[in-house]
Amino acid sequence: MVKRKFNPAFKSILFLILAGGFLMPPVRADDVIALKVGTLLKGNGEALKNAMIIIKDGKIEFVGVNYPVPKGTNILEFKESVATPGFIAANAYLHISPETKEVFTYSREDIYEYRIEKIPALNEERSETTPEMNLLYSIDPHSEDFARAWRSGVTCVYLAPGNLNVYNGTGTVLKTWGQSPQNMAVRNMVQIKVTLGEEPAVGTGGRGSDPDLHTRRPQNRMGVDSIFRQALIDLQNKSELPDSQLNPQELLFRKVLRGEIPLRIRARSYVDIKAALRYGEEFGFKWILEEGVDAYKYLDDLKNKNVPVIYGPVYRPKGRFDFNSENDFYRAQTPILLAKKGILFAFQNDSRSPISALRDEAIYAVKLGLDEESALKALTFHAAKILGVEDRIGTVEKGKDADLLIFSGDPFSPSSRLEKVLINNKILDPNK
Amino acid sequence: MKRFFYPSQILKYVLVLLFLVPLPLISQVKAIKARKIYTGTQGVIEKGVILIENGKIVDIGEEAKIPWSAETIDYSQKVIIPGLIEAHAMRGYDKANEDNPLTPFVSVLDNYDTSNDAITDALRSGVTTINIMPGNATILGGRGAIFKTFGLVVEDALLVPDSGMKISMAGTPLQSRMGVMAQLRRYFNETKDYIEKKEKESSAPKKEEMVSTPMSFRSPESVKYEAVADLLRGRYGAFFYCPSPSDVVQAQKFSEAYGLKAVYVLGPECYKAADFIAEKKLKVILDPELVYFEKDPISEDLKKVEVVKVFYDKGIEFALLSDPEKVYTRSLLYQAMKAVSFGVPADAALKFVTIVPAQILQVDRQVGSLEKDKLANFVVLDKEPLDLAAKVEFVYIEGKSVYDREKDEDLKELTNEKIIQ
Repeated sequence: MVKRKFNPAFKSILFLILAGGFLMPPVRADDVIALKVGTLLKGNGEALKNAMIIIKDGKIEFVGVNYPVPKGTNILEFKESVATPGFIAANAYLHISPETKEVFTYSREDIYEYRIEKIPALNEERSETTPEMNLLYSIDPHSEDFARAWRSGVTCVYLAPGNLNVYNGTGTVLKTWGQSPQNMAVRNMVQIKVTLGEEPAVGTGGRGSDPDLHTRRPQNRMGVDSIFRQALIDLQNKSELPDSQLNPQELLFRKVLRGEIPLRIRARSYVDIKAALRYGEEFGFKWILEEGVDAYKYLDDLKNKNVPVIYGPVYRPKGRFDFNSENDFYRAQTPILLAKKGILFAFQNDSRSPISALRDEAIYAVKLGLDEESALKALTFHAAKILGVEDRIGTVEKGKDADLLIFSGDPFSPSSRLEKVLINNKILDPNK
Repeated sequence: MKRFFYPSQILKYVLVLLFLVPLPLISQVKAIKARKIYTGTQGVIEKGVILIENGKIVDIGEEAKIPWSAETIDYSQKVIIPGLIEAHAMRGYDKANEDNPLTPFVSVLDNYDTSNDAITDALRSGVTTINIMPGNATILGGRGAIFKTFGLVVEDALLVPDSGMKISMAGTPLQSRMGVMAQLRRYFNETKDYIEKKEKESSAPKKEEMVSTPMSFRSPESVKYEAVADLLRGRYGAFFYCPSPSDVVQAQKFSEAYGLKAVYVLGPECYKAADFIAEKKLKVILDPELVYFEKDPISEDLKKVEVVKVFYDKGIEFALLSDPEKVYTRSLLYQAMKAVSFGVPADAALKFVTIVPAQILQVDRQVGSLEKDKLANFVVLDKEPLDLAAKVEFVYIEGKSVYDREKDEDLKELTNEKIIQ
């Protein structure tokens, strides 16, 4: 038998083809965005110099230093710039609903004005216990506040119904750019919003109006407490029933007790934080503290129970305290204390601080002594973790959504400019 | 008989007095060394020295000779910038406006509260000169005054008693622009008649009416007209509040017709009048909101306008304002940093909070930069001025240290230096 030897030339060609197969980029030129940035802050604490980011179909394909880009790909170079993940407002107060209400305001002592304005938050008034409410389909994707949000670097927000019920409804995590609520939504029904304290007691029957038979509300914390516990105890009594025999409301509560959906408890006062800690022990649910103005008083308890905290706004002008009159004192350094304690925390805005000031709020926290790494984590990775969407957003890593911000310098310096915003596949100019 | 005074005893007292008299006359020269001095108008001096005598700068420079008797203060690790100037502030008092739309006779001298939080906050953030004006909700709102941010007694804190008359082009909330203009013209024409009458009556006005302090208005007629008469005589300027671009044009026409010295306090939308402002070389003070979101009336798309950039690109010099109500406009230095993010060079941004407002308020002979014969108002920082991490460590007003960060208990409460170690 004659052993046939391969021609060396043929061999080398074969080698080239095989090697080429491995080296050949798996993407074509036309559906790829390639970015080169001076510094990449990944959001989870890591940083990378002269980074290259490849984006395909709105997802991050590659993050690293070098990547053989196919010929003809348009590489966007930002050599002096700093890239970060898109900022996430872990709780946002936005005018996002097309719904309106009639308001009378007194502009001067003797003259009142009548106008119709968009309502910032949706409150379902028929009951105190409306956990099944979901506001995804009441959202106007063309709302001005979304445009303000992405223009200031906030690419993702958490929205939930208003806070005048005890159980207000389920929250939604959505991108701030998109054509319809469905394609903006990252995940729906992530948390059930609960309000403790004064606000449900003040009630939805119109602030200050006399309570009558039809607008009877819990009048104080005792009333709120009884409504909160009633709903969960009712369900505990039905523990024998299968899922199929429960109504949607009860089904949600069952998920809460099983730990599948966390409660998002808005507890502004230390009294309510203490109450929430007690409920957590009693019923064993997972929960997140929202607007924890007084969180600094229970740092150890929050740490022991692994309760994340959403805090904001950090800045409050002097002499202007909360309308609730519950907190006549606040701690601007709460973020620093939370970071020191190792408690997961994120930033939020409220009616007095526009969503476009979210970065300024974080800058203010940095100015007071918060380290930049914790501040960036609170704006990105930790916020995503608290919202339970860290598999999709929050960091710049392979497989995640391509939500990126490109700054001309340090994102925590007010002198640096936000140059570009990327949401999914879309490259947006925030300065127009 | 016993004599009370012996000549020798008298001589003794006289001698003692002679020794005591010159003590207060010997003035103390202070020499302040710094790593870097931003003079504001003459560049940056590395390793500079400022010599201060009687609250004024005697000399400034790299090798200014330090006299042997001088008290030397060593800030050789720190940076010095001129004291910041807030060109138009509507805070530091209980209420900004009177209910009556035409109240030119009121003055903020009467309701300025020197110990107000807004004033202590201003000092804390490096502001040494602040122009307090009445609010925007009256047509003729009254007169403002320029203050130093330190001193409990109003007269001690006062720099210029009448900085200008506040004229709001928007008027009261329910008024139309027609009504505002008609009322303004009527008031000014009446005042012109009053001045003519006054000149006929006596060739020289009475002495007490020359001084335009609130107490000087004697007769009901002089109360009504004297404040606007002083404006027409050019003793002080007019501060026109212009929320919309067309107001700028109206105000300019009005001030030209009556020969007023005018300053324009702009609303954020006034970027549309930038060409007009550049052409007429108007003195402008920008709104604290440096970014203006505008909705397209047809497409309803939102447009973002960087107001500072528009004005800077047109070559207009403007004064920046702060608004402590909001996190993103909380201090003048923060506003200057923001201006840098919109493309203004750092040295120009610093000018917009120091020398430019001083020129607009016509106090640039006294404050606004660190030069010979100006007041020794300056801020000592630990880092470069437009670095976020820079802390205001000391503030000097007229050569005296009036703020020390180490002793600021309120700030420690805020930053929690007590708890966080």
